[in-house]
Amino acid sequence: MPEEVKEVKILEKPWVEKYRPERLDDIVGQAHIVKRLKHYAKTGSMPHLLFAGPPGVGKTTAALALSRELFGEHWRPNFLELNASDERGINVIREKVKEFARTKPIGGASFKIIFLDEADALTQDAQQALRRTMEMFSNNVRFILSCNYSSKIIEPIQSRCAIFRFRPLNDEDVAERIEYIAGSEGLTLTEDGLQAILYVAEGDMRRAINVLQAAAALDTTITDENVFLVASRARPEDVRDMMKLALEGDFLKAREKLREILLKQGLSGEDVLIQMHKEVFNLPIPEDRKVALADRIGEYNFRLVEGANEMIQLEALLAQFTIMGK
Amino acid sequence: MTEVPWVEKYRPRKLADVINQEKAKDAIRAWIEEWLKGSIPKKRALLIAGPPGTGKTSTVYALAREHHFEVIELNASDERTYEKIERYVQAAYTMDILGQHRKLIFLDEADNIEPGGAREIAKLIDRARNPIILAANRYWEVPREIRAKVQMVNYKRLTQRDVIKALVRILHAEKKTVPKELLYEIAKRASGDLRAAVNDLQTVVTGGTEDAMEVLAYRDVEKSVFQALAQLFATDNARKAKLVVLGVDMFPHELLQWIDENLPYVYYRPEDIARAYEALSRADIFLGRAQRTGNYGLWKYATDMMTAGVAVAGVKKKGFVRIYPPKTIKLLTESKGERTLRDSIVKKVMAEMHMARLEALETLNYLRAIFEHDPEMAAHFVVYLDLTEKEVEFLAGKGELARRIWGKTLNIHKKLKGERNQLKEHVAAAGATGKGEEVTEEELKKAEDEIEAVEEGKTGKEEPSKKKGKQATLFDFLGKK
Repeated sequence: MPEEVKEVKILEKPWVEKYRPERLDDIVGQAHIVKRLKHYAKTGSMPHLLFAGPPGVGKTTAALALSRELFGEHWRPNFLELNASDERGINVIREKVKEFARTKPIGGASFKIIFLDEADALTQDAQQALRRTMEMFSNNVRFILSCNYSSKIIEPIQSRCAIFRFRPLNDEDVAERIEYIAGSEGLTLTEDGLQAILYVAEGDMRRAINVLQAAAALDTTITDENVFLVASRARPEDVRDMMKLALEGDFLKAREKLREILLKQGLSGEDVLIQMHKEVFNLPIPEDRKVALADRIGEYNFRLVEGANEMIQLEALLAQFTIMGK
Repeated sequence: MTEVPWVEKYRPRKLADVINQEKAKDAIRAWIEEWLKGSIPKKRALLIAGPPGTGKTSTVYALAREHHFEVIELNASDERTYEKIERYVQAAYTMDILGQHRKLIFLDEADNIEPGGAREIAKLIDRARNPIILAANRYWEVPREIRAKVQMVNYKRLTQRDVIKALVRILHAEKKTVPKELLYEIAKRASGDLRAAVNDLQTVVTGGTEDAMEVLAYRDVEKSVFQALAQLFATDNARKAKLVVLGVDMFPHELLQWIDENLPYVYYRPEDIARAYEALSRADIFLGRAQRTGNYGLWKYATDMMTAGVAVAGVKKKGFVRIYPPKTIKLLTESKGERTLRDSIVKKVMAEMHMARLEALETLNYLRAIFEHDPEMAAHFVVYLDLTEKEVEFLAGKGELARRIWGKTLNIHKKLKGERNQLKEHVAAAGATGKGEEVTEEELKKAEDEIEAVEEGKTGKEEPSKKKGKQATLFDFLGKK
């Protein structure tokens, strides 16, 4: 019985947290980065850092592990995690930074760390303000900025940071970790199940572990069937469906879908555009139209960036799809 | 779905069919008889004054039909009206000699004649060799110069009973029924305006009666926007499209949503829809720029694009177009509770599981799968993320499942509390045996840290946090920040 194998704790953490590596050495697939971060830990000093890379490859984990190794048992009070997409504007971030930087580092450290996730969600103006804030408190605070694309971070910030590019994880790295977790949790991991997890994870360790845990909720034997079941629920193909409806000329249905995606599912206009752009080259349309549509997506993306209304702009984009259909 | 507007289909053919204006009709008959006899009445123009939808236009056309006049309909607010009247007065004169197809000049909205043109028109009336009928809602707003030249007849506001009778007749002809309460409601809201009532009736019958009350309720408040949009979607004239929204009491971004909602019902060819949306997109960009720079003078360009830009975008569906209130507003209001819950959970997932917003949204769906299939595992997530009972219901649905998960959650909380107390007791006992105070303090701290480590830095466990989730993107849409 798997229940007997499991060590029953009073409170089980989500597996993405339970199996998050605590030490830099345990981070998989980023040896080139780990080496340099360990050097910072050893010398007790570091510049501002910029972590760039796709989701689920270890950026947050590296930041957490680094501060553990830098500050030891006092890491918590010396580490502040912020999310740029969550805080209401740069002023809120600035206030929190100020508040955090006001007090001295604990336990003899010479600085504290602020980890700012989704830094690329900040506008150019906000990033300028962030740069000033970084300078203002640079004597006792180091920033670790995390983003998917370093190109979305303004030059002046990039030049003040050591930039680390995290690589997508390869399947072997993900498989090893998933097998380890399945073993610790007393699960039976079938080969098909593992392959399915690797397929849906696309090198994203967090997604792999989340899918594993959700599949484990269905059954202690991890089958490909259950993996695809939970994965398809988590990543419905609404955006692709919406594009297809528009291409078929059914603008009203496409619009309905869009409203559901934006209002009910809570994706932002830009999230939708990113997914549309990803999908556009897989659409069953002539090659030149794929290019034309990519161009249109870019145009409407720019309009959104300019501060236009996402519903109106995306509807207008869908209308462009209707002419590109048949 | 092209449908003839019922207000046209059931317009009275004969003067006798114009309801409840008997006294006024007698005066009109007497006046037209003079013309027919070949003599010219004392007053060459007739002004029908009365509230909207009482039969003024119908009267003119019924009269013309009965006596074989050709109606030259002119809009008084058009600046070129004077020229046109002059031309038709001359043309009519020559035609008159031939003795056929006499012309009847019909000047609608006479209360909208600009003062400058009024004197000129008054002079034309003096020279008229053919009947001129003017119509106006308010007699006193017709320019004085004109009032002096016309014979006035008054049309009464229709009673609710008149309106209901007319509606029932149409329903009979259409072989349709609507619930009696609805019929009464339509009549009540129309307040004597038969045209509005007939339009409402057609809306209700065409669109189905289930959301009828709601549509009617909107009509009450937004009467002018319904009318304005119907006019906007009926014209290909850029200038007219701009003018029809002038009286609409709305901010441009609200109007934008109304136009957005209805546009794809009016245009049906993809290239037209795309062109119309391109205009809307431009309008929206102007609104955004106005908002950002505080230069609200830019609003006028936004309005140009959303009205004229949309009106000239292509070929419109002919006939009756049902105008819908924007569904997005309804969707947003309806889903407000849900969105608040979702955003609150997303925020907790982001904080406790170190995720970006998009990843947290994805994780919500894994959580749903877990909540559905494994209440025990779900309960651990509930404690770890510090979810409220409502949030559990959001993920597991209201019902037995959510209750079970919540029960298990309370159990875990109880055990955690027990463990914490035990640790404290243990430490206190150690302190009582006389060990060094420093060590005890440290031990206590360490013990608490251990629990905290399990909970991964949460605070206020017993008090569910009530922080609201991020709503900016959604409300950008409604209120432009």
